[in-house]
Amino acid sequence: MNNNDKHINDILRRKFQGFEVTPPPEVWENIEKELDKPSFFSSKSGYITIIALLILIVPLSYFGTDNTSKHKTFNAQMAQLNVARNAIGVSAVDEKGVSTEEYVKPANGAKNIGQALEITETYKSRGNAIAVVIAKSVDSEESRSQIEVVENKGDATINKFIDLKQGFDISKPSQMLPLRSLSLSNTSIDLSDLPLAFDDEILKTLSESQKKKTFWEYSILLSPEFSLNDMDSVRALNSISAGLEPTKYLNKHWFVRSGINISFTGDKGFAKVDYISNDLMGTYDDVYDVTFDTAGGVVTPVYHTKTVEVWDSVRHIKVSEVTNRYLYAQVPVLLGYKSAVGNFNIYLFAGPAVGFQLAKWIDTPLSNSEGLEIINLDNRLPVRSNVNFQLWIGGGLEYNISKRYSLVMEPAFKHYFKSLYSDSEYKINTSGFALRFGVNIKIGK
Amino acid sequence: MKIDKAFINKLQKRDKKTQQSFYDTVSAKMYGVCLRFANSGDDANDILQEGFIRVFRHIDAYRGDGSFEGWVRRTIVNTAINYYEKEKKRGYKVDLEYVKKDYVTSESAIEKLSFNELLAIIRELPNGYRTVFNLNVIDGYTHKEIGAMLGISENTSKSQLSRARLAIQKRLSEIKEKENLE
Repeated sequence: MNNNDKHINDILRRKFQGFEVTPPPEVWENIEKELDKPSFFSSKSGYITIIALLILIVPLSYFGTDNTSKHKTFNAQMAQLNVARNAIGVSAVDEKGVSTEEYVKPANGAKNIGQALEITETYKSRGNAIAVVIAKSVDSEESRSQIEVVENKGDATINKFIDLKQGFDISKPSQMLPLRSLSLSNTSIDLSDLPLAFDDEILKTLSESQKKKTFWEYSILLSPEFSLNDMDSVRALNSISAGLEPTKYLNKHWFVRSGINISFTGDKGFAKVDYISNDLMGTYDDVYDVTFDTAGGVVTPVYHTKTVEVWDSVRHIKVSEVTNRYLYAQVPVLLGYKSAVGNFNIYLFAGPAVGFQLAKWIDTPLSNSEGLEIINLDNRLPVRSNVNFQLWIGGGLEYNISKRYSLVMEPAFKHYFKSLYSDSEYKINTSGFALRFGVNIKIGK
Repeated sequence: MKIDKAFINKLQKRDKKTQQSFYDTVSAKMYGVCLRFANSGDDANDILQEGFIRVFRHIDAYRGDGSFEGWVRRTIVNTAINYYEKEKKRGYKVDLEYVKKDYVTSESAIEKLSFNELLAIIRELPNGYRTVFNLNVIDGYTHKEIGAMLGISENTSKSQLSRARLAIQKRLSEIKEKENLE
């Protein structure tokens, strides 16, 4: 930089640096409006994230409700039990001076029969007065439940412990039904026969829908997907996806499966780049003046030079390979049929799926080369659409490694209804073959 | 208005009155910066708006190192750079000078020009040239710093500045010739 440039720079700096201009008032109004907006919800990705979370949470919460509903049913039955007991007069018990503690006492007394019992529920009544305590053995691997009946005759309290039949599960509301009916029907009934009648009574009280076994299964799947189509200069790359798909079994065979798969995919193609490299080629000394000195009668020329930098400002044209990459959330809704063969299950499934684009990385040719000035960029690689629709058809082989876990392998064919690309020149329905591997976790069976 | 630690704390708590007061104090200065970097008044408005939203939303990123106004200025400059980043990826539309001419620019010619006239000349520059010119000549960043900010090499920064300077000198010469003819 010569002195003239330096002086001009100083003048420009001085002129511009202290310059102030009052902005139009609408700028502040817009800033205020933007600041009042919740930034997350104002973005497209925010909405997509919410939809994705809902897709995940709704089935999970449904499963959670399933558990809760058991408790609700259980508690509802016990509430009925209490209502019935109240009807026969808990207050009367109090009037007789029998405190709540005395009713709970038999539960503690349960330990006296030589077992460590975990008291799970205590219900009070009057039987001539009855208290029912449900206790579960904790010192034995074998689950053992007891009903304790307390009869209150005058000042005397009689405790009865009745072992329930093996396999009786107090967490299953259906198995409480006989207990409820017994408690409601007669407060002074001899309950010692109760366990013997259990099975028949349970079956009688269960509705057809209750007898059907319905349960949830969660599939965690990893899948490479191989593209089956190429178009001219565009090559759809193989993709990889990972997903969580909850499955609801409608009965022993039929199931409905949905969930979310995050898929990473891409395309390869070409772009024509017109650029200037801006490379510093070198320098030379430019003679801008010649003067002559005379010394001792000899004339000597003096060359005044300045250093000139030479830059590569020639335009280059290059065809460069580009790769665009995308992240999609795929949400399938599949209907399937499963059948057991020994320790294996085989199944078929089909259904639509929708893919939402979460992110995209559009390649810039020669982006790794520093200092390039791109004059014109003709990217021939089309960009994928934000949303795509697919049909999935597939089968699966499942190997049960335990009652809860199984390994699965699912070959699946995916057909894209709508063209993957928004560019009208690339309207072509593509297909892919996916091989899905993963683990199924059964819950609630 | 004094911009001290207590004031910045209020800004960090998103106090609306403090935000407006701060905007009223520094917006004119920052708008001057935006006008230099933008190639139109509308773009300058957008950059100022986007820049202040960034300042208010990311104010927690200010750690107290250096002056607060400097941090805000840097945020506004970065916003301006990002504003034209997309355009940069599509490529500059530049009429390139293949033969370097020498334009003699006198200091007095520049001194005579008003701010608006100078601004108009700078706005005529392609985005890349204008950005490097602003960052180097007015804001005093080195070519190395500019290279890091714009993701270009030091040599490219020098080259862009050289071309920017040439374009300004050419424009000044044209103005001078026009005045002489009149």
